[in-house]
Amino acid sequence: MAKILILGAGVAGHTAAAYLQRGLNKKHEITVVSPTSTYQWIPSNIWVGVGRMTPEEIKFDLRPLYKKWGINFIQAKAQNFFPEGDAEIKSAYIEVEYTTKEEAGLKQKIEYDYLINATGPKLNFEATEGLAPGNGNIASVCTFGHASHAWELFQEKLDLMQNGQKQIFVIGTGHPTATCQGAAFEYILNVDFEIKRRGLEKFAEVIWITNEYELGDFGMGGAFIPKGGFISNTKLFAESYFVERNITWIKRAGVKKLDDHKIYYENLDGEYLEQAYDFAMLIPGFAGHGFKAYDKNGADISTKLFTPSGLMKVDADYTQKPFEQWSINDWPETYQNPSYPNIFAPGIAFAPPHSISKPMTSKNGTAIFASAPRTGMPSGIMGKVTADNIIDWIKTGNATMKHKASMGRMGAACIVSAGYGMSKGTAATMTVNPVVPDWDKYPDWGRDINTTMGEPGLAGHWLKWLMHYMFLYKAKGKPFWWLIPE
Amino acid sequence: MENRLIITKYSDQYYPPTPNNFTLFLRKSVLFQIIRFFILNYKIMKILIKGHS
Ligand SMILES: Cc1cc2nc3c(=O)[nH]c(=O)nc-3n(C[C@H](O)[C@H](O)[C@H](O)COP(=O)(O)OP(=O)(O)OC[C@H]3O[C@@H](n4cnc5c(N)ncnc54)[C@H](O)[C@@H]3O)c2cc1C
Repeated sequence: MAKILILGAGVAGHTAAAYLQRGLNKKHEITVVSPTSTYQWIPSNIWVGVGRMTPEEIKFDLRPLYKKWGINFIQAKAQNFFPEGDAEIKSAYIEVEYTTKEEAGLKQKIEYDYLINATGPKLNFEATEGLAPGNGNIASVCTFGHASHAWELFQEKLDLMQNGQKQIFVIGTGHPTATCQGAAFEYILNVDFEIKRRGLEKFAEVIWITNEYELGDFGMGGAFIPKGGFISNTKLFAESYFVERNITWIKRAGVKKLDDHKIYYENLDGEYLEQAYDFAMLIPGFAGHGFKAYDKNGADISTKLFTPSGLMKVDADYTQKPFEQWSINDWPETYQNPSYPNIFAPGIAFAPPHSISKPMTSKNGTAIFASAPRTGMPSGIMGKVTADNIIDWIKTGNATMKHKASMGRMGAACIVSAGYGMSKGTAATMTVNPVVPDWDKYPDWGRDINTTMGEPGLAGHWLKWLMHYMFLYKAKGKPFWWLIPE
Repeated sequence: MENRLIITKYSDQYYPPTPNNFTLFLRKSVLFQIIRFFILNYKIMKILIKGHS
């Protein structure tokens, strides 16, 4: 009997749990540890943040499903890793702390044979002074709770505009090296759509603030896409979207601090500037959760498992090298920890070898550029290949690791909603293939130009809407869920 | 009257391409979008299936 422990029930962790229970005999023990018992379809938070969906429509309780699947669920947060056990417990284990009201603070040691660390990012609001959502005029859409608060705040601003008061909306990135620009891009377009739908545009100024070197970078160094007889860069695509909507932008900006009405940032020219605002939704920096790891003698081996950012080391090439020497071969394929092969980290939990966009530094030495994104589709695929490799390992007794999914070889699709409605909605369907440009294979454009695209239109909204229901159907483990791809 | 040049003052906002009426029409045309819906689905599936082994 094998014990498989999964930390995190987000896109990567839940996908891995679903495939493991499907592929393994019931005599094996699968345990999922997560601080909340709900699964949330994060991409639809955008619609919660503009009042088009309620949190109930985008989340569900995992416990009945895990019961049906024979998975143990523990509502707790992982804290310390003991990959060799300790003086008392000979096998590897994780120390967790319960998060339920009744058992809050209670600790437990959970032993494992295989560990999947799919704990995603720590939303590092503290890294930017004043950024925490709920502070005055600051919102976030990173969780359904945040998105719900964002909608309340947005409504207050809509009311003020109804009364003729001008409001400034600033949306974008809230840390000099933040990622997830796509989510903020989606939110600004939806906010703008909702303002215009109410005829309030003359009372609104909508501004995009970003750490990207150019718009449309999205942390992937931008992309080349075929458009109107040309192959053009996503810079033009993103700028065109904004110009069409009268949204202005501030780029190359590293946000350092916010107070109730002003955003303080530094730009790549080294200038320290301010931007007034009445409503801000800025994506925080992402970090690891600050886990600690110890060997069997109790010595701290955190650096063996985690990089300084707190994310987990996997089969990536972490050698420091200049941007010009970066290659797709630096990117991991199996998400296996090199020191402890029975530990895996799919999704945002793994430490990327470097960013995808070129690192930039201001004249004052501040790093201002987008970190590498790891969106839903790649995170789901990583969760699946991790499950497939563990299933093979358990069944054959050999760690063949034949299932692989590198961001340098896989593509990703992201539907950027820009307004809700079956006939009035719109969204840009964006695909990149591969996610990390492969300049050796595609010397002109870095990616396969036939499957890398950006296309705005009503069809994109239908796709986004369909995906919402399809992915929740899959996550709920409804009949034939496994036929729906990640 | 305020024109594009006065509003944008040769800033970044002055230069990007803006969709013309035909492009905007196609983005909203139900018939055209139904066709695009199937093509986009096909392209996404193609990427997905080739993405991992
Ligand atoms: C607003 C928004 C919109 C987005 N839109 C899109 C989109 O349209 N398309 C797209 O592809 N991607 C989108 N993304 C990105 C996508 O949500 C992420 O790529 C994806 O959620 C990453 O999956 P993950 O499993 O690595 O992390 P998560 O989904 O964040 O899951 C992490 C899990 O770990 C749990 N956890 C945290 N700490 C601990 C701990 N100490 N112990 C145990 N468990 C822990 C969490 O509770 C959670 O269950 C969006 C993101 C945001 C914020």
